[in-house]
Amino acid sequence: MSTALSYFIIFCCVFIILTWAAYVPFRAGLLYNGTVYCMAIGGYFAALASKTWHWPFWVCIIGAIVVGAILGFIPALGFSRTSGIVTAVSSMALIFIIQSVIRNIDILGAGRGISGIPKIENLVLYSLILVLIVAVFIFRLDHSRLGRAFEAVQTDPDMAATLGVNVKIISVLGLTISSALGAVAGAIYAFNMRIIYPETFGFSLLLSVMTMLFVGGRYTQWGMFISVPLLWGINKWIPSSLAIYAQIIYGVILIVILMARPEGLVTRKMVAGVGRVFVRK
Amino acid sequence: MKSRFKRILAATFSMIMVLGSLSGCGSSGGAETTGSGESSTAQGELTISVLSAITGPIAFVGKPAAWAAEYAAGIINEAGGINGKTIKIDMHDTKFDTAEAVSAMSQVVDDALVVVGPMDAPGGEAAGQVAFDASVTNIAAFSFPDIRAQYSPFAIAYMTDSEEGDLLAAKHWVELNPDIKSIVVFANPTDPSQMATAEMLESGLPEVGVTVKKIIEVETGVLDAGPAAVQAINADVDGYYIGIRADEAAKVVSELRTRGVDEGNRICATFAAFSPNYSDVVSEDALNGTYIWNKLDPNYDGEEWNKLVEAYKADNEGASPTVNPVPDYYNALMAIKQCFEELNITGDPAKLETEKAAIAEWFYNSPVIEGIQGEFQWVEGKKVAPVYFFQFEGKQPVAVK
Amino acid sequence: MESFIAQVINGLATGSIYALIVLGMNLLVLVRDIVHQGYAHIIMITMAAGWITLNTSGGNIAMAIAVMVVVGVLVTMATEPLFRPLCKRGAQLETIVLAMSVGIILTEFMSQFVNSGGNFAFPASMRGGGITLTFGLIRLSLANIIALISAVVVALVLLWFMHKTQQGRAIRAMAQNLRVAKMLGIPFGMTGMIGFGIAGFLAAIIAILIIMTIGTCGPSLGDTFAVKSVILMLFAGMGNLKGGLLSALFMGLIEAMALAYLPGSWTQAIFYGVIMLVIIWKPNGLFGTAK
Repeated sequence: MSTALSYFIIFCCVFIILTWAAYVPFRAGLLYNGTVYCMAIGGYFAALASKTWHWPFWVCIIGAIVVGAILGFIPALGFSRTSGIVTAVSSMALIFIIQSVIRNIDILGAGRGISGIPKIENLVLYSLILVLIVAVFIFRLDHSRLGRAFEAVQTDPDMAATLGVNVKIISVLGLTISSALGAVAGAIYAFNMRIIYPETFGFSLLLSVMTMLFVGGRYTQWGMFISVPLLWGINKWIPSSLAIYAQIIYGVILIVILMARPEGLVTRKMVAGVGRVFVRK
Repeated sequence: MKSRFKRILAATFSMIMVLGSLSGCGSSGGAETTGSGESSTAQGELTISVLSAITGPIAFVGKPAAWAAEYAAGIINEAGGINGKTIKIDMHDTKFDTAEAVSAMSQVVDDALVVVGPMDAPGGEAAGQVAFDASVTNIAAFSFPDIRAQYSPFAIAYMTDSEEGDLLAAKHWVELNPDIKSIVVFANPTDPSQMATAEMLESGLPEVGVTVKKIIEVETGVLDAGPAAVQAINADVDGYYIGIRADEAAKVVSELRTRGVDEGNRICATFAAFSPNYSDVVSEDALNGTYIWNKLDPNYDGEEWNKLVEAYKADNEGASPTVNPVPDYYNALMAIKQCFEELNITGDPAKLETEKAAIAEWFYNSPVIEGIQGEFQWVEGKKVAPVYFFQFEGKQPVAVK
Repeated sequence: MESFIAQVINGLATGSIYALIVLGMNLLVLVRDIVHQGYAHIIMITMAAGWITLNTSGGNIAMAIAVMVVVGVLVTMATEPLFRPLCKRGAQLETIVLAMSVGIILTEFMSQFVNSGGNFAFPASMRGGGITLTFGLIRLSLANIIALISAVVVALVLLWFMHKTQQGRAIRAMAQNLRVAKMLGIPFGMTGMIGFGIAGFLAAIIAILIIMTIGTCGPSLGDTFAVKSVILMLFAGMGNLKGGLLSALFMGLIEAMALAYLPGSWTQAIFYGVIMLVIIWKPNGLFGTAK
């Protein structure tokens, strides 16, 4: 496999998992901008664990999930008090806080970052496996009692509360799962880049994730498979004469989708339609 | 009826997207290999990949760098190309983003002999790993000795080490102004290179009898440099070394000058401030008399450089090149030409591995090269070239001997 | 002491700029219940328009100001139709993302097409002639005083407009309950356009004040203001005009003090950490939301 293709696949896997990390809280009606914060935690944990402590890949991933879930749980407790737009905007602050904290901790390389993260031989295969595992996990989650509770909260929090759903627990749970997924994405990212910087986990990454979520479709878990390759590889799809407009095109795509296709490219109806085809046969 | 039509339309659209992305994956892998392989073996064409930040926040440096590479290729082709082959620049945008830099490098690294760029330090360090894994010589922003050691011998710095230039300039500055006995240094706490500079000045200046009293931290994008300037003046020193980028440096100098630093010669700025973002933004009165150093001399008098400046002006509405990647990218391309000719590089895919190794060896400890602004050389991947020291007369930087 | 007073003045100067931006954003919250991050970028574009006019007209300040007012109003109004379908379906969260992408587009436009992405400075004549009072370290410019006064005046005018005029009442009614407001015959599109137009006019005023106080502009200016202003607005309480004014001035002070007396590398963490804790502690903001 060529270098270009393997990097493309791994980056797509990273962004698919990361977009799922933003998708899960959205199921519970929360726009959570802390996904990038969790990604930084996962990435730095994996970098440290593999470089300094020489942990093997899968142990690093599990460690990243645990650490990500714990450090995601703490702000999640706070955000269970807030809702809607307040959660969305105040969780942005987490990005600035984590960047600033990393820069002040010498063991995390401070401003220089951590370089020389060990190479993982079968990273393409591993990241595809992780995407599969997360896909199954989210599919099960969506079609479980819990998933329906999430959906009830998304549709109408007050109604959900009267039906006996504990809205606070649901939102804490959603944000914690999201943090764990974000950490997985961060870990793969670190292994792929082999070098990691605090600047990476900034505002522009957040915008990319949100664009991928909203363009792909945020009511189903499948939209990411279209939006991530489309947007990550945007320089490949547009002619090179338009390359300097790439970021403007990126923004325009997002605006057009938000205005004209409220559910994104892949809608719930489409998924249901595809499902019906299979059931009939 | 209408909704059904819409659904079909949406489904078709999505199908096209899926097919598009699949075929795109294919093209990014298979097709490209044959594509550029073809071009390097086809009679008379040699592809050289160049990476630069053409869009995003540092496009104002990245675009001139990309321009310089294209311009150099034009000059080389006018003179008959390299070993009789015309060269073609394969330009990739890194958007000042490390992931984009790695992605761009991964697209070119499989059949490249040498890659120029990324232009920015974080991008260079990240993408350098990919080049190192593929044993491809990478002439990029490797501004730290430890990163060059890690990727040696493939990491070749396109510009000189900034910290050494800072120390040299600071020593020159206090030598010219013997009344400066204590200084403050402005540095960005989030920029490792600037903090390294500040530490180097702290340890290196006492040997010429000057102490660094305080390091004043100025963050990127700071709106008001007033607090920093007040702190500096409060430190009661004789000199102010501005070790920060042009955007913030402009604000700091303006504030210093309006708050009582009357003599311009008490201020010296680093090369990162040498850009229109500094000299166009600070008023003429505030700039007058201050010092600055740079890795290029915009007024250099040389036939090759004058020709480049003319061409640059013609393409950029009369603006002249001031950012250092312009001569550095140009020199990188010219060095590649010299290397390929001396080693008689063919670009033949069959000989790719041996040629890559030979190129890396050539660059790691290069012969002395006649650059567009004087002679330079690579010693263990580090670029050794002269730096230039200026004092502003009004808005014009005038070279100081 | 002298330097302390100087730092207080620095803080109030930045704070009054924040206050004006927060006021503009609060107005849009009242009009359409949206968090418009791109508002800061519109101010940046307005400044760029002014700079281009100055350059092409040979330093005609009156013309530059006229162009800035027109550009500010037109660009702000041009974003209204983008938000309209989202507001109609009550997709409040999506509007944040839409505003962000307006921000990306404007920033990238600046870094590609205005002064080749470089920063630019305004001539001294446009900066209020640089009339300043200087006592040692303390520097008080006419521009700073004008900015501070304008922040207070704009807040008062907006309060008067929202509470005492027909249009203002219509806007508030619409923000509180869209369906009822429509039944009462308040035109949805028209009212929104008027609100955005006023915000655009305010954007032009802010742009002029930034020119007078800071004097430079560049592609990164929008991002510098955007996130901080939005977070400040939540801190004070969405749509709360008085609260926004007070907390922006207060934050400007805190920030200047932190820059002056705290180690720089931790300022960001402390600044955002405190704001986040306050928001979690009081989800409706320190001063409560408008509703």
